[in-house]
Amino acid sequence: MKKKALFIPFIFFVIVVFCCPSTILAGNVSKNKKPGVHQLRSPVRLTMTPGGDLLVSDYQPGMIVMVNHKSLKTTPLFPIEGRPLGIAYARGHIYVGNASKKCVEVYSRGGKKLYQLNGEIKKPTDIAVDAKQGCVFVVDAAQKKVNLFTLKGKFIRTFPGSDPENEILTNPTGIAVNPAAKEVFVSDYGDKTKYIYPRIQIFDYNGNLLDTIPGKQGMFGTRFSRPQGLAVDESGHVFMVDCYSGEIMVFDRYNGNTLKTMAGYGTDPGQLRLPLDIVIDPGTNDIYVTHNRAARVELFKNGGAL
Amino acid sequence: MMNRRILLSLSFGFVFFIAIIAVNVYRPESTGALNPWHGDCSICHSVHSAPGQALSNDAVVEVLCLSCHGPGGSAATVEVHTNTSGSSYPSFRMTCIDCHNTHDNMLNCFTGINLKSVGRKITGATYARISTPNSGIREVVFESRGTSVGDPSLHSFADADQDGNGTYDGSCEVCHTLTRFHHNNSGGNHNHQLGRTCTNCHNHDNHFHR
Repeated sequence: MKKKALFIPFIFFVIVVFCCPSTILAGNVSKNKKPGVHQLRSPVRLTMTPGGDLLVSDYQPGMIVMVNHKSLKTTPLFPIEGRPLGIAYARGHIYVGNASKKCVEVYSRGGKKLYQLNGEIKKPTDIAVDAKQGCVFVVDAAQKKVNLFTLKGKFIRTFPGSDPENEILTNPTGIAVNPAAKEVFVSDYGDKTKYIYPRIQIFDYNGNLLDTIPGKQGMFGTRFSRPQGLAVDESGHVFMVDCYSGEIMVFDRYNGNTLKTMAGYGTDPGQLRLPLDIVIDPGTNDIYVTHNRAARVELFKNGGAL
Repeated sequence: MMNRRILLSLSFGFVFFIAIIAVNVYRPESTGALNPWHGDCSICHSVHSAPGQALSNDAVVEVLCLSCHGPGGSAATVEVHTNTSGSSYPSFRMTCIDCHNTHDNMLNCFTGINLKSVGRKITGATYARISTPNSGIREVVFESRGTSVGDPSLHSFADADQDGNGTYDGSCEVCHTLTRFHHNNSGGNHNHQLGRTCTNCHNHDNHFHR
C-alpha cells in the first residue's frame, strides 16, 4: 500500500517533467509556442521601457510585441493597421512608424490609438525620443530626412536642409539620441555612386552636423557597409549593428575609433543574419538585437561592457 | 640608363592603361550589364575588405538584397517566397536569386526583355529561365505588369498562355503546380484574375501571401 502511495506521485512527477513544454532558450524568443505567446516573424526595431521590458515592431504580422527582459517571453501587445517599422516609448505612450499608412502613430500600452504625429512622412524606419526635452526624432528613409516633433505630435523642424549639394544624409536608416549631450546619431548607407561611403552622422538637436563616424577607413578599409540600428550608452559610446556583415560594433564618439566588435554573419549561436536594431540595458549592460532572418530577439549578456 | 627607366615607366603605364580599359569593357559572362537602379558594382560588392562572407552563397545574397529591400532599408520592401503557414503542401523557400538575376534584365525566349530582372541564365541558354521546384528548368517571360496598371496582359504574371504557344511562362504561373489557380500547364482553373497584377493581393513584402 505504501509502495503504491509513493509510486503514483512519482509517475505524476515524471509526466510533469517530461511532457510539459520546454522552457524558453535564452536569447531565442521564437522557440516558445505556448498559447498567448507571440511567434516573431520579422522583427525590425526594438525599444526598452523604463521597467526594462522590450517593445518590438514585428513587420509581417503588423504586431507590437512585448519581450520580458528576464524570461524573454514574447507577448503580443497589440496589432496595428499596416506594417510597423520604427518604435519608441515615452511617458506611457508607444510611438510606432507605420510603413503602410506613411505616418507615426501614438498608442497607449493597451493598444488604443491616441493620435499621430502631424507631418509628411513617407517611410518612418526608426524613431528616437528624448522624453525630458519632449523631442521625438523620426528617420524618413524615403525622404532622406529626420523630422523632429514634440511628444504631443506637433511638427518642429526637418533636418538636414534641402540643399542637394550637401548630401548630409543619402540613405538614412536608424537613429538614436544621447539626451545627456543633446546629440542625435543617424546611420546612413551613403551612396557609393557619388563616393559617399557608409557613416554615422552626429547632429545637435537643432539639426547642425557635428561629427561623422566613417565606415570607410583609409583607401581600401571597410569597417561597416550597411549601418542600421544605433544605441548610445551612458558613457556616450556608440553601438551599431551592420545588417550585412552581422556585426555589432562599438565606437568612440569623439575620435570614431572602433572599441569593440561582436557577433558577425552566420547561423551559429551568437551570429546574426540581417540584424536591424540594438538596445542596451543600462542596469545590466546586456544587449538586445533584433535578428530578422532568424525571426527572434538575441540577448548578448553583458555585451555592453567594454 | 635614364632612357631605359623612362621606357620602363612608359611600358608599365601603357599596360596599366590597357588593363583599365579591359576591365571596363569586358564583364564576366555571369554578370552582364548592371541594372541602372543598382548603380555600379560597388553598391553590392566590396572588392577590398568585403564584409561578411561576401556573395559566397544564396543566404548571403539574400541578406545583401534585404539590407536595402528589407523592412529597415530605403528601397521597396520585399520578402522571399514561402508557402502559407498551415499549408498541407511541402514547405518551400524561394530566395531572391531563385527568380531574379540581380545583375541584369535578361532577354526572354521571345527576344523581349523581362521586367524586374526576372529569370536567370541557366544551363548555357542566353535567355531568361527559372529552375522550378518540381517542373524542371523552364523559360520565363515577364514583359507586362498586367491589366491593372494599364498594360496588356500578354506576358504578365499569369496570362494563361495568351500567346497560344503551349507554355505557361508568366513569372508566377511558371512554377505553380499545387496552387488553386494558374498551374504551369493547361490543367485546372486559369480564369482567376487573369492577366492582372498578382502582387496587388499576393504581396511581395508578405512572402507573396494574401
